[in-house]
Amino acid sequence: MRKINIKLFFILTALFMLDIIKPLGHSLTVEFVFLGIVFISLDNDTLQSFIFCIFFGFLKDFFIAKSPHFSFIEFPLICLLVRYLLFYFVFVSQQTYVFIVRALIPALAIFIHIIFNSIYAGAFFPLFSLTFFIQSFLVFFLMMNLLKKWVRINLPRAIS
Amino acid sequence: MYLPSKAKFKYTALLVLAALLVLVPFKHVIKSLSISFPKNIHLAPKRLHQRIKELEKINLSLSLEIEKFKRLKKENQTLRKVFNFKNEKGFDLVGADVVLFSPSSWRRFVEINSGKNKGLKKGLFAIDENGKLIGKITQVSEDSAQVILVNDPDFNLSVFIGEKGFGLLKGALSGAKILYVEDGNEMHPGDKVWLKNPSLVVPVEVGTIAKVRRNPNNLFWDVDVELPLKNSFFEKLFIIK
Repeated sequence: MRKINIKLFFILTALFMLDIIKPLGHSLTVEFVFLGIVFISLDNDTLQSFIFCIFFGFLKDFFIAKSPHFSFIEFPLICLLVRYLLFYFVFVSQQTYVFIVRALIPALAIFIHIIFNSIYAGAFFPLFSLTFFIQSFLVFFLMMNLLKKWVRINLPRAIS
Repeated sequence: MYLPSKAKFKYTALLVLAALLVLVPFKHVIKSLSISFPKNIHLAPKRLHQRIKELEKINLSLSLEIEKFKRLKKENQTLRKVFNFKNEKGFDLVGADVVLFSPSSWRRFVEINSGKNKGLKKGLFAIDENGKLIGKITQVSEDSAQVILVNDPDFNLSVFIGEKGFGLLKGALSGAKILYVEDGNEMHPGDKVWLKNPSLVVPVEVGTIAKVRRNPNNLFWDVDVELPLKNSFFEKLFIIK
């Protein structure tokens, strides 16, 4: 468990570094830490994910002077929502639907993130939101495929 | 010994299998031999082989040097542009490197490595090497400052479009909008948007008009502005003191 904790911590720290360095500038409208939070919430126990969410939410807010507690509140909420939906759908659905559910939950999390940020900004940017959604969704699956073997995630089995 | 053809095949297969089973414990030895052996084969004399290795090293270091010079050339060109701009417009500029970007994609600001130690203060404007507005300083500490970019949703600034009108520029992430334009009849896509401020000697270009349309539900016109920085990556900016 401790080994996985350290690995997850390194992954999230690296993703946070990517967020603040922005190697591709603003061409890639993706929040890596947010995707990392969804990634760990999907496959780790609730308490561990919750603690990571609080820590990295705080870290993100620390670098944004005008929003001292926005991510600090948003990330744990997203984590709880992801955990709840995952348990709910996995236990009520058939085995074949688990993979669809695992794809739908990140999409829903990204959608909620867009709504939260639009409310916070006080304006809705349709084109930007669409770009953000598509890019985040694709990067999430790319990230999951690259990292799942390293983190050794066991896919949850549904009760059939 | 007489063996029918099928039995002979089985006998041979068994023999091969037995041979493989005997070789299984020596698998790693065979593998390492097969990997290391070709490396140690030198078709050319040893002296020539050493020379090739030396040349490969020199080649690598020269490639790195070339990359370094390319970067210096680019920096030189940027600074030359700024120098010309500075002489032309008579601005007092302070150069700064971008240290980090906003971790949120919904905000557009950067942290720079110059602060009070270089005489920077809140409200000063930042431009790129072409003299176009990038943003303005919102926070200053001793050796760093935060610059809010023109396309940040919190960015507001009074601008004018030649003699055709004026309005309030507001960031919209992928571009910017000019609000409260009363008459947009004479405004056309491609018209330049300028910033005029008492602290500036001459106006600074902000961007160009991308779209002008009349909003039937509003008293004012909707004007979209295309910004020079758009989504591009930049690592240097200049503050007008």
